[in-house]
Amino acid sequence: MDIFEAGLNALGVVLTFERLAYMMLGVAIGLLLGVLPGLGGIVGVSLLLPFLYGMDPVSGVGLMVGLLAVGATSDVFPAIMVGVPGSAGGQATVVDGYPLARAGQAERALGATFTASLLGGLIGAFSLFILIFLGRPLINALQTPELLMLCVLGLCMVAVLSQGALVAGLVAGLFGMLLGLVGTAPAAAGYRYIEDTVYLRQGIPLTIVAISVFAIPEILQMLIEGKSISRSGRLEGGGLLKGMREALGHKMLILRSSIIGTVIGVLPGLGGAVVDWIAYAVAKRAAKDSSQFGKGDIRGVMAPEAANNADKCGAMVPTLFFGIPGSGTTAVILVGFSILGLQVGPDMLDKHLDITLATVWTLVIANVAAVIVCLLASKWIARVSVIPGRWLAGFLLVLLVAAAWQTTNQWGDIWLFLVLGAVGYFMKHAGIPRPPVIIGFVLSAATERYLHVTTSLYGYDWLMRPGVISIGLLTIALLFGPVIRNAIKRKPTTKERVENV
Amino acid sequence: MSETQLPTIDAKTERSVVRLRQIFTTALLLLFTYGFLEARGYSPDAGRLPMVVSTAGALFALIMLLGDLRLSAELRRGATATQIHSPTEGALSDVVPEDVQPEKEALGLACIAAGMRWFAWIAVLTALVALFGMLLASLVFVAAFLKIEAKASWRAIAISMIGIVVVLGFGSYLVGMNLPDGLFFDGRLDIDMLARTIGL
Repeated sequence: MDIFEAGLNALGVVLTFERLAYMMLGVAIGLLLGVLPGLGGIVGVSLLLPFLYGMDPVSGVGLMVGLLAVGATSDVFPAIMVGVPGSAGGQATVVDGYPLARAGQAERALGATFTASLLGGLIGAFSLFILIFLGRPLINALQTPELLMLCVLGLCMVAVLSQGALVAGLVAGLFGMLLGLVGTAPAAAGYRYIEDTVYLRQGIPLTIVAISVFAIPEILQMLIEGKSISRSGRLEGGGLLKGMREALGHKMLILRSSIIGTVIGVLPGLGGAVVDWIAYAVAKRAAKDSSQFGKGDIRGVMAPEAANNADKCGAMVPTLFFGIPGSGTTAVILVGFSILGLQVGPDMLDKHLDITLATVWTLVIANVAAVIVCLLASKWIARVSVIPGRWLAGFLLVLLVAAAWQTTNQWGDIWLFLVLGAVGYFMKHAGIPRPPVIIGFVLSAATERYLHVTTSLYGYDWLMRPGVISIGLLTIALLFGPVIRNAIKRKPTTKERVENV
Repeated sequence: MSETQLPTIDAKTERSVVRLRQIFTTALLLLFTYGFLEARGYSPDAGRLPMVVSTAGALFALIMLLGDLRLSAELRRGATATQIHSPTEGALSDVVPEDVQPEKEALGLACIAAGMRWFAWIAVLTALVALFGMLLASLVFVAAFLKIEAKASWRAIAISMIGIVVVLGFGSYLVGMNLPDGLFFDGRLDIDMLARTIGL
């Protein structure tokens, strides 16, 4: 049986009423959780576990994967409408999505975002289909030195995200790294920077950093101005279709972002929180005119969202074929597979190939269903942006406090949320870019872990590995490419020089 | 930010932004110094990255602070931000956030005064949660906030309160969201207790 025949058979397996119904239930829960800040896929999948006992494996996988696939789609509502990342993967969307909503273009941003999400999800699912047969050599080629270099690449994105204020961006990125170092040291026994505070032993939670540094300053700004999210108090008509058309017109951007998302998703331990930033930074670097990035550039919402949805598909590769969960959510999914009686690993490529291919179809169908639902809801949800800010703010502050509490259910969550919210507020008003804080924070633990393992195992030899050199060259190209390109462009031709004379 | 928008930022505001940056950068410089001094006491494996991060952070914070001090001096001499092009930061106008509206005088140090009132509301919410638990505190807070700040009608307030109950109820009962308990009440509505109280 060839691969395409197997694929079609798997589609037949998925398309039964019962299995589709379970998948749609997963999609519905995933969409609702995506909208609520602080509640990620891990909460949803954990809730499903008790119901998986005795369930038909394809239905069970559909339920879990349906939920996992769409969290990254609906989390754009809070990101664009109120500047609050709905999940770790929705952080970069805030940077341009919220300014678009403030400019009265919420519908346009939502239309573009959902179309990009759909295309990203479909490209990711197709890539997963291909990787089912080619993924093993790729994963085997990536060891800790390559993962360390990918962290370095991620950290270099700080320079791209600094919005013309490089030193301020570096200071912000290092501040984020310092926050990320609080708590247990991964490379040695002991705690760092906790000052005998029990709460800080497990480190500062990412959710708290993301919602406080981004959301509090935006809500306070809206209150100070006394206006609605849309400053003009109006919504641009026809924005949804315009946004969708724009997304379809940026094929290369979406393809590139989706490939980035899939590749990073395949790498265990990176994904989720950093993929959107890398896709955003690459989009900004590749843009001919990047002056509007950070101020409401539509490409700034499409790139992270396409990458985000593709990342969810890529993350299934190490989870299904190697039993290596790339994130907390995929770790819980592994438990779900075990409850369903499925042994992840090489068995998924032969004995359970039908389930694996059914997973790909679930990702495709779930993404399409989620985008249709979100697009239908967008027109109404976009109207939130014309409600006066003071009507919304009380409700939002309550939601944010509740979201902060979800992290560890301790009062430390709330205090930290307030302190970092104030820091974010001053950063915004002092003109210090905030995205580098998140990048530094997300990557500090991974960088330290990989650095320790790499230097312990390889000494300095790791620097000569082909994968390390390739990623190093890619990093240099991303950092200095535009400078070199501009230098080449600025050089006048002989004809121009003659004309000038 | 394009140059055509710049006249709305006056010299006083420019100085204020730079001063806020100086205060913030000084705080970060102290934080990185603390990070460095603490890291010296850790084992080599635990202290390696903290040392690198805090040293680099302190260095860049110092460069930023010196750059801003120079900028301050130039501004005092009467130059405008657009005329000053710092080698490290570009024009000041580049770093003033696009979505901060200068006419509301919330730029620079003025943001402290402007934000104080709203931070006070957040403090009130936190205190209410600590006393009455999340659900009850949210209802009291939203009602007070809407009445005082938005001058909303009681009907609108009632609708908002129903919204709060629906969202927090959905979160706590259907998706297992935990809500903070207060000194006097639980964080979420205890449906069983409520049913017993009304005799169901």
